[in-house]
Parts: sequence; C-alpha cells; structure tokens
Amino acid sequence: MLQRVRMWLSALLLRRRQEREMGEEMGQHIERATSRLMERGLTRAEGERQAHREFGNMVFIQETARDARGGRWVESIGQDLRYAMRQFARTPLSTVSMMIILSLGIGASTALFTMINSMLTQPPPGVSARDGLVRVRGRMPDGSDGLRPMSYPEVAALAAQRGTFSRVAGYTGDDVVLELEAAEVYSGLAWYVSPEYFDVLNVRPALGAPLPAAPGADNALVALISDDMWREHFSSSAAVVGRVIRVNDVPVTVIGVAPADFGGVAGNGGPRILWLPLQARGMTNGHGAAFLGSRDSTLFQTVAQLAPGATMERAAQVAAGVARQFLPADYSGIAATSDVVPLLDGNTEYSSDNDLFFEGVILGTLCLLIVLVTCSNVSALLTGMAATRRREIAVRLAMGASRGRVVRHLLVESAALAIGGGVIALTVTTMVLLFVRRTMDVPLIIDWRMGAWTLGVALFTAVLFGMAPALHATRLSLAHVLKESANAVSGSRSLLQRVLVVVQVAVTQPLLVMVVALLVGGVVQLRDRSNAALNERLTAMSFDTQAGSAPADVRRTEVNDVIARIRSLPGVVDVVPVVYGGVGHEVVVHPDDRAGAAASEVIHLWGQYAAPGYFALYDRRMLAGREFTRDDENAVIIDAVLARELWGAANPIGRRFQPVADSGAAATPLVVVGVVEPLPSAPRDEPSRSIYVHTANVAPSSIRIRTQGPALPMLRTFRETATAAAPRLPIAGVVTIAESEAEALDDVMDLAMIATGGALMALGLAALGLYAVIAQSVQQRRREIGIRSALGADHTRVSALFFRRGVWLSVIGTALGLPAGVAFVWFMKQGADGHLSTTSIPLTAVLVATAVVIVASLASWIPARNAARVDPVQALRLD
Amino acid sequence: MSGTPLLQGTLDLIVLQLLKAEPTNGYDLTLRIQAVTDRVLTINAGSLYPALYRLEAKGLVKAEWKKSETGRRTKVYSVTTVGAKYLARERQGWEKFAGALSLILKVT
Repeated sequence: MLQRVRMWLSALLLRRRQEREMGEEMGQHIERATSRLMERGLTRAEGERQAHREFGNMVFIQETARDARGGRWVESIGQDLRYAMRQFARTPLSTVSMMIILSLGIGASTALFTMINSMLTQPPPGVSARDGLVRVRGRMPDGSDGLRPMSYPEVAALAAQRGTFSRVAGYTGDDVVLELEAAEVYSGLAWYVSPEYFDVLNVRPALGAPLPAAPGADNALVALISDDMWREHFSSSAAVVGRVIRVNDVPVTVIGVAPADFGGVAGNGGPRILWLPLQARGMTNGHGAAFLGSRDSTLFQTVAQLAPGATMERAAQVAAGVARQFLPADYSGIAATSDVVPLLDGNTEYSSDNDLFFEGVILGTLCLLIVLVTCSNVSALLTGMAATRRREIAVRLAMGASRGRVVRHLLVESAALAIGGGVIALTVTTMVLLFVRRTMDVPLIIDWRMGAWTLGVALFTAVLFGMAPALHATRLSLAHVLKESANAVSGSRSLLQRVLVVVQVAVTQPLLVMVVALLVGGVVQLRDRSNAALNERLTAMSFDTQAGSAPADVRRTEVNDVIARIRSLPGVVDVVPVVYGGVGHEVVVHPDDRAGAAASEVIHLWGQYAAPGYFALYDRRMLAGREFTRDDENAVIIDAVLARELWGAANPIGRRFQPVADSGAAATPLVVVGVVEPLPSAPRDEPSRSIYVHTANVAPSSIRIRTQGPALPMLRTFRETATAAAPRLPIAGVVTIAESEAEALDDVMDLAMIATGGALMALGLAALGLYAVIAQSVQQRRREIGIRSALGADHTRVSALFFRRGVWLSVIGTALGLPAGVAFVWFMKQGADGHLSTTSIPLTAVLVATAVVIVASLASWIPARNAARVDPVQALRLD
Repeated sequence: MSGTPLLQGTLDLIVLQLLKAEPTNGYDLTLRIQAVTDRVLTINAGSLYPALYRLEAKGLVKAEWKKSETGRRTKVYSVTTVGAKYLARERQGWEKFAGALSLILKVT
C-alpha cells in the first residue's frame, strides 16, 4: 500500500523526470544495440534501423511501461488539471465569477456549520469533550417534553450504580446576595455541587485549590469563583485566594478561581458565579441540611461519567429504574422517568430534544439552501460554457476519447473550481469567525472539523454543479454539432440552464422572506418606541428580589423604602413600581351592566399590573375616570378600544366584570375605574384582551423614575440613594430607558445587518446567475441577432427578446419559491414564540416578490441592452 | 519475440533470478537472457521494460542511476529484500509445478 502511494506521488510530482529517464534508458538500449550491430559490420544507418526494428515500437512500449508503472490515473487527472487551468485562463471573467460565487456559498455553509458544531455537538465551554460524559435528566412521563429536577437521594442512588456510572455529580443553584467589598452588594449565582462535580467535568481551578468535598470541622465555608468575577471585582489579583466574601451574609473564604471559559454546565450564568460544596447551601440560606435527605426536595441536576463498557441505552434503563424508586410523594400516579443524553452545550437540562431538533432544522435548511443556490448558479454558468465548447467536446469524442473520460475531465474542472473556492472560503471564514469570537465573545469552535466540512462541501458541490452540465455537454451527436455553426445554440439545449436559473431564484425566496420578516418585525417593534424625549427622562432600576433568603414582605418594604427616598430627591417627578407580567381573568360583564354592546358570553382578559401613577409616568392620558390609588381593591382600568367594544358610547366607569365561578378567582366583581387611551400600536394578534389591574399585593422587582431633565447624570445618585435606603437589596441594574432602547435597537440592527448581508448575498448570487445566463445567451446568439438586425429588426425588439426571457425565468422562480418561503417562516414562527409578527408575513411575501422581480429585471436588462448593440456586420463576419 | 514463447508469469521469475545473480541494466539483461538460455529464449524490449517497471512499482526490484565502466550514466536494476523473498517463494512453486509436469509427461 505504502509502495503504491509512493508511486502515485512520484507519478504526480516527478512525472517529467520519470519520462526523461525512460527516454534516456531506452535510447541507450538502442545505441548499444546499434554499436553491437556495427561491430558485426553494419553501417551506422543500417545498424540503427536494425536496432529499432529489434526494439519494436518505442511509443507503444513506453505507453505499456507507463501502464506497468502504475499511477496512470493520477497522471491523467494531472493532465485534466493542466487542461482545466488553460481553460480557466482563456475565460478569466467566468472563472472569477464562478470562484466568487463558490467561495461565498461554501463560506456561508462553513460559517453555519461552525455554529451548528459549536452549539449542538460540543460540551459547554470549558469542559473538554469525552466519551461517556452525560447528563442524567429526570423526565416527566413518556411522550411529554417536560423535565423534572431530582432529589439528592435519587442522585446518590444513581452514584451507587457503579457498574453503569463511574462518577455521578449533582448540583443545584441559588440566586444569592454577595458582599464583595464593603458596603456594596450584588446578586450572584451560587452552584452548590456534590464532591464529584469537578472530577466528572475534569475541570481544575486556574488559580488556588480545588473545592473540598465538605466544609471543614469548624464549618468554615469555602468557594471557587468565576473568572469574570475575579476580573471584575478582584482586578485579576492572585491575592484573592484567602479573601473572605459574604454570601447571604455568611462569611465564605475564596479558595480558588475557575478556568476562564468555564461557567458551569447550565448555560450562561452571568458575571458573578461561584461554586460551593453542597452542605454550604443549608448554611447560606438558613434552612439547614434537610434538603439532602428528603425525596421531596427536588432541586438537583445531574452530570455523570459512564463506566467503561456501559452504553447510553443501558444507563437510561438504570436511571429510569432509580427514578421509579425515588419519586417524591406528590408524584403519585405520575410515571416519571429519566433519560441519559450526552453533555452538550446545546443540550441543557431545560431544553428538550425538540429544541435541538428545531435549531438544527433551521440552520441545516439555511445551509442546504445556500449550497443549492450556489450549485445551481455555477451549474448554469458551466452549462453555458459547455454549450460554447460543444465543438471542442465533439471533436474529442470523435477522436476516440470515451464519454466517461470527457465527463471526468469536466468534473476535474468543477472540482478545481470548487476546491479553489473552498480554500478562499475557508481562509476568509476562519478569519471572520476568529474575529467574531474575539470581539463578540461568542463561543465558536474553530478546529479541523471546519476544514473537513469545507472540503466535503466543496467536493459535494463540485459533483452537484458539475455533473449535470458535464453529462449534458457530452450527450451530443458529432455530425450534428460540426455541421451547425459553433455560435448557434437552439432553445432545447439551454433548457437545463433555464431550469437551473429558475431553481436558484426559487430557493432564494425562503431566505429573503425570513430576512424581511425579521426586518419588518424589528421595524414594527421600533416604531412603538418613538417617544425619545420622554425616554431620556425615564430611568429603570431593577432589583434581584429573589436573591438571598429574605422573605417577600421584607423585600417589598425595602423596595418601598427605596421608592420613598428617591421620590424625595430634587428633580425627580415621580417614582412608580413596575411589576412585569400579570394575571388572567375569565369574566362576564356583570348582568346589571350590560347596556350598550356588551353580550353575556365569557371573555378572557389579561390583567397587566399597573401601580398608581403608571399612566402619568408614560404620558398616557386618562380619557375617563382616574388612575389607581393606593387603596384600590378589585379596581381595573381598561383602554378605550375595549370600552367602545363592550359599552359603545355609554360611560364605562363604575361598570363591573363578574369573574366566572369555576375559574378559581374570588367572586368579587372587578370595577372599571378608568379608561386610558390605547397604545399607538397594540399587537393585533393578542390572544386575549388587555386590562390593567392594581399591583397592590405584588412585590415589585423594578421601579421607574421620571425626572424633570435628562436622567443620565443622576444615575449614580439613584444608586447611592437606593443602597443607603436598603443596604441588603441587590441592585440588578440602573439605566435610562433611552439607553436600554438604544441597546435593543443595536441588537435589532446587528441581527438586521447579518440577515441583510445574507439576503443580499443570496439575491446578488441569483442576480449574478441570471445576468451571466442572459449574457451568455446573447453571446451565443450573436449571429442570429446580427441576421435579425440586418433584416431590419429594431433594437428594442432584439433587447425585449432577452429581457422578456430573464423576467419570465425570475417570475416562474418566484412563483415556485415564494409559497415554500412563506411556509418556512410559518414553521419558524411556531418556535419563535411570537418574536415574529404574523401580520407582516403577507406584506413580506409581496415585498420579496417585488424585490426579486425588480432585481432580476435589472440583471436581465443589462445584457439584453447589449444585445441591441450587436453590430450585424461584426456578428456575421464571425466564424 | 523469437524462439520459444514464454509461459505466463515466468518472465518475472527470469528477470528476478538474473538480477539477483548480478544487478545490471535493461540492455545487458536481454543479452544475458539470450546467453543463459542458449538463445532459446529471446525477450524483446517490448516485454522486458514493462516487466521491469511493473516489478519496480511492486517494490520487488529497485533502480539506480550509476556510472558504467565507460563512464556513462546507466540505470541499474537490482533485487530488493522483498523481491528476494518473493523469488524464493515463486521458485519453490515453479519447481513443484515443473516436477509435476515432467511426471505427467513420463506417463505413456
């Protein structure tokens, strides 16, 4: 085998030398035979003739010898390659455009592959891939996607299955209040992990010591902190080891820093993560260690290392068996189970397989579409080129080249193009991805798989785009081709080319529809946020009310203290607590209040929380009645749209909604106390109608501060005032609404830019393909155009001939592709949870169709106009 | 080819055996074959060179360019270790075959 590879290599690299040496060797043979014959008395001329006769046909013998030497196919591919290079040199323009198209297409597919590879096939950042590294996930009964956390006894029972799992680690997380420096508190995420956790993941601290299995005898707590926390709060100082911080007011000694890229195995945990031994949880939340012994404390996620020889299926059976024994009491009658999946980044404990599948389908479809557009594009160009090379191909076939040989030659040409494109694509994509990884902090995996993928796609595309034109070009009758003019190509022969153009216009649609849907959705969202002057004077301050162990009423008091203190600051107009979310109501209009249009059927209302002053804060006018007051109970505020719908012109104030008896809500009627002007663009496809309910009994997690002037210079004062008012309440963020809007806008714009880039590329590719096809067809039909012009056809009619064809092709492509595109966006919507607005889809379809046809018309117009400029004298003189 | 036609597969054996006796170039090899077989076997260049190239590709012989006595560069073939083992094996097979054949021919 090795010997053979060496022969192939030398056939490829040392061909010239081998040929020279073979000539020299055989020449010597004849020369020596000649001198021997001359010794016998023959003249030199006679001797040479005789020697040649004895030797035999030199060309034939050399050919046989080459065959015997092996590696002929390598050599002939080498020939094909050289031939291909000459061909490329003859048609630089087509070659360069095909190269650009290929590198764009292959590059895009490589980028997508890297995303899929990074998200769906790799373990979480900082954990190195290893066979048998798994998550054991508690699941709800078969057929449901729901996942359930486990109790510690269940985790311990899994760990006891030594034959199946060599190591098992459970972990649970809590939001905690951290005091890192004096007088300032932050929220953080604490992971309480079982002793095997870092061993299973094979993660070692970058600084300091590993976490001990349990707190020491003196119950002193220790923690590992995340790299982000170390950089942000301890200036990357090695002196952090031994520092005492406070977690929920309990002193904890920092013993080490986790590696830079490691942030746990449960997704992005924010900038302040720390790891503590399991027992520490009872001490930091004050609830004691009972959670470790109870089957009902279902808090844990589990990672494990399979024992040597254990399979995933077997492990799943074992885990399901354990699950049956350790289900908590309130699971009676529920056939909950467990499954075992590889520990992947995209495969978090909360995501189901469906999520992975969904992401995979979207990215995979995009990838396939891009590759298809690229292929059909290059295919169309190659078909056109092959059409002009029909004569050459026919002559080669006539001279005895087999069809297979010619097809192989054309495929080698395709492969050379594709690999060239692939190399450019790989270089550029790697650079771009490295840049993205560094500047945007996206965990992308850039390794050999990317190169392997690119090569694979390049070869796949080479066969895909090369095969059809190659087979097409070689399926011809010699006499027919040689008889007709080299420049004339009849319609039937360019059918394939036209089909290819239609295909690529068609497959571009889903991409475009998706992008425009995203853009339109983004624009619609941004339009709602138009009050820039007000946004500058509004500040959002949010708190981590869930962090730590303080009870809810303590938190509410703290927030109220903060509100009172900030309200008294000079320059502050009002401070209003904000509670996100709301509560659903099933009601009927109270029987006594059905005057007007109100009917007796049940209506679903979505009650959004609003506090006193909420509407004034946003400058929303009350059209009737009043805002909430502190002492309101069972009061609601509705907007003018709902008021008109239910009661027409009649006054809605004081009218009541009666909760439906079996909805579980209190039977007390809700009284309308105010009517507010509707939001400028209420979502039209909202499932239920919105009302506003009083926040009275809900602890707010955020407040809005309205100031007389711009709020930006006051942010520091707000923060200091809040810390002074409630020193134990962690502040999650203080930003002006203008800032957060700008940030949201940036996000939308970033997405829009990426998406637009992709869409423009696809559209550009399709346009380039159409342009090239029409231009080629003009070139091929110069003679015919010349004759038409000579016979008096006017220029407009000649151009129209080609223009019509281009537009036609794009219209057919659009008609075929648009339904698929719309279907694709619908499918995406199912998983996008309303991030895409439904109303924008028909609009999107119309926009896309119009844009495609306009661009296609332009792309056809340029070569069509050139057709009119063909000089009949020149055209007819050709050939 | 003049003289007795060659049995299939025997050419490799002949070439290997002669090269094992003494490494040499293609032309001298043809002369040697004629001399050794008393001109019964004549192997022309059309068979010899493809055979040499094939054996070289299989790694059974190797070729080197050397200065001859006349000072000219000539391509000298010699048997590799693999070639020598191959020859020994084939030779055994051949001797068995030849023995069997002569036994058959003695049957009257």
